[in-house]
Amino acid sequence: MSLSKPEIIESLRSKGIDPIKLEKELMNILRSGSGAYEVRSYLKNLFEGDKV
Amino acid sequence: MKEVGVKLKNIGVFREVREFKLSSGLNIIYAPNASGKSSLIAGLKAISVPVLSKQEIARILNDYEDRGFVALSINDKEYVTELIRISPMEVEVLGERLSSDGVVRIISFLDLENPLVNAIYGGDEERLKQILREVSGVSYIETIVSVLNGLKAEYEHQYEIKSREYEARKSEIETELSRVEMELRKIDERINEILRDTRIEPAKREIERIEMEKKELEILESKKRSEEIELRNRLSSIDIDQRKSKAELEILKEKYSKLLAEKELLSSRIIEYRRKIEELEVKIKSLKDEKEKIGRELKELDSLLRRREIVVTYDYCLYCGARIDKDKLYEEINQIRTRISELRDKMTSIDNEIISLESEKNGLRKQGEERLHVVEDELRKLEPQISELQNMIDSYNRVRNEIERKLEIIEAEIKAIRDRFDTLIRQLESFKEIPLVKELRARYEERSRLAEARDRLYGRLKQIEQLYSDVVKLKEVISKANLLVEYFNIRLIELGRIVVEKINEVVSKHFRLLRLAELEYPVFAERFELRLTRKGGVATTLAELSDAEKAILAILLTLALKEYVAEDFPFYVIDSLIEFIDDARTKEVLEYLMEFANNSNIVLVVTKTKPYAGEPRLLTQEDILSNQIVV
Repeated sequence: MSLSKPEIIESLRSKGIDPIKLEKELMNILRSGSGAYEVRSYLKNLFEGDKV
Repeated sequence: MKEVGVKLKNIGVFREVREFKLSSGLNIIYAPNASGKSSLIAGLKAISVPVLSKQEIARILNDYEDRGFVALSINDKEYVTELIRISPMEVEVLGERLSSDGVVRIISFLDLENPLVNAIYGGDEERLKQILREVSGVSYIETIVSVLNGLKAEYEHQYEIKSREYEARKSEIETELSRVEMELRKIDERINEILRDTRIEPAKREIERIEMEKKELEILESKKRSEEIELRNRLSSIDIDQRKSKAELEILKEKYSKLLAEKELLSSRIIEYRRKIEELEVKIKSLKDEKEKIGRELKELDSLLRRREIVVTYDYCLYCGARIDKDKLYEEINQIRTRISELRDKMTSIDNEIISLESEKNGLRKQGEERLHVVEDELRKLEPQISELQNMIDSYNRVRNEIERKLEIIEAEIKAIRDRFDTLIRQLESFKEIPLVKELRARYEERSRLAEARDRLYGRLKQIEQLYSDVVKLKEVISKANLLVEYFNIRLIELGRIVVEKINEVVSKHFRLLRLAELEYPVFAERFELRLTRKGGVATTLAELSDAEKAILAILLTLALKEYVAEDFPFYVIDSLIEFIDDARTKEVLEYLMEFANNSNIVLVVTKTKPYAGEPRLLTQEDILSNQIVV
């Protein structure tokens, strides 16, 4: 069964990710002229911590 | 907000300091060509927009100056941005900007460099859709979803490989371990049997001493082996990280050398691009001069026509009393009208030619200088990344050497323990005549070999614990990535459908402007597909709209989007576009904009060319008309 938007947000927050804040940050990265490579690095860093 | 103060130094055509005041509501900058209307707008752009192209920034600073600034006082707050020339083509902007969102460039500054305006005037519906999707965030969310899906697939692949490897290795080690432990139990049982046997009595005391020391040695050896295993695990984890960093470094170095080659190629062609741009600028200037000349002639003809149309209503001349030759006058009026119509057509064709040349110029800039700046930027970004990776690889080497040195010491210690072990077992040699001692010695040797094998197997189990923790981490990362993909897919649906509906609602509020462009509501279908319909339901295309309609459409779309994506931004600027609209409609558009600006409490700035025949002069505060409409 798929989750509703508030359930997804709650679930992500419990895992340490605020999707609303993340969306704003990624949008800022893209709007400032950076591309998919920078978004990928940002997300990799988010998932893997200091390893990246 | 009642008043906004703008101070400019060495911006555009202005040298030294110039100060202007703008009021809340509509401000019409009504001044001649080359007086600095666009320079004032450029100053506002520099202090407002965080993302401007390098070419745009370079054009803002006066060509003959190396430093300039823009100061803005708004809502009791002061903003200052400084422009510093780094090279002939590069200017850096320092200081706090009014907005941190690059979207205000497209939404709030409508000029001939605005990509949305260019897409509309080029009749490029695909590009317009793309810009609208970017402004609303749809295309960015699509990029995010695509990156997330790519990462998720990578993590799932890693998870599959690592979990399979973990299960296989664990099962293999556990089988081997249970076999070794069973053998050890059997040997221990046999050793105990021998030690309990009365035939061994003469050597018992010595055997007990050896047994005690051997047990101590076993404990010590086990401790050293676990230290050795730990160090080997660290070494293998460093090997993995180092291999990964080396691979990344290779990729970055390859990218760097490709960009370097492109930079050299672009640098060699840049002079040719500049020459072509200069040629185009000369052509554009000459067309603008011609347009201005036609404008003056049109004005004179308009005034002459009005006078002739009045005279033709009289039978006799009011000054000399002579009879008026009406046939001759009608003929003259027709000639004037034909000439006016010819001149208007010519003006439209000049406008089209200017737009096409501007677009060619922008294309050349994109291929040449802009691409060169992008390449230089990327090279600058890559340099620290390469050096960081190189440093990381060096630091891995240092740690690796340190671990290898420690391993050598531990291996030597283990060897010393083994030697002492052998000595102890050899000591049993002197009792070889006593029954069972020979077998006991053989059993001890076998036990020691098996204990070593068991320690190594435990070490391997520990090693794969690391693999297990990687598997658990990957599972967690995949779960996070899955949730994020779901979240962004929901956002994509929201933006693609709900935002279009909201924008259509806002557009309907600006229906008066739509009527001026003779278009029907709504203008958007789902996913930002443009749906242009003329009054009466006839479908039309962007390319088929007149220049005035295109200007109104650009104003309409940006006003609608402003309410949605940049509501708090205090400026809305229309530079040059208003010239494409005829006087009657301009009046209505300006009235509408004044009402909009007053309702939204923003500073709305429109530039309009004032016919001027005297010596060239610069813009002054008197040229800015607040909440008054001039046509």
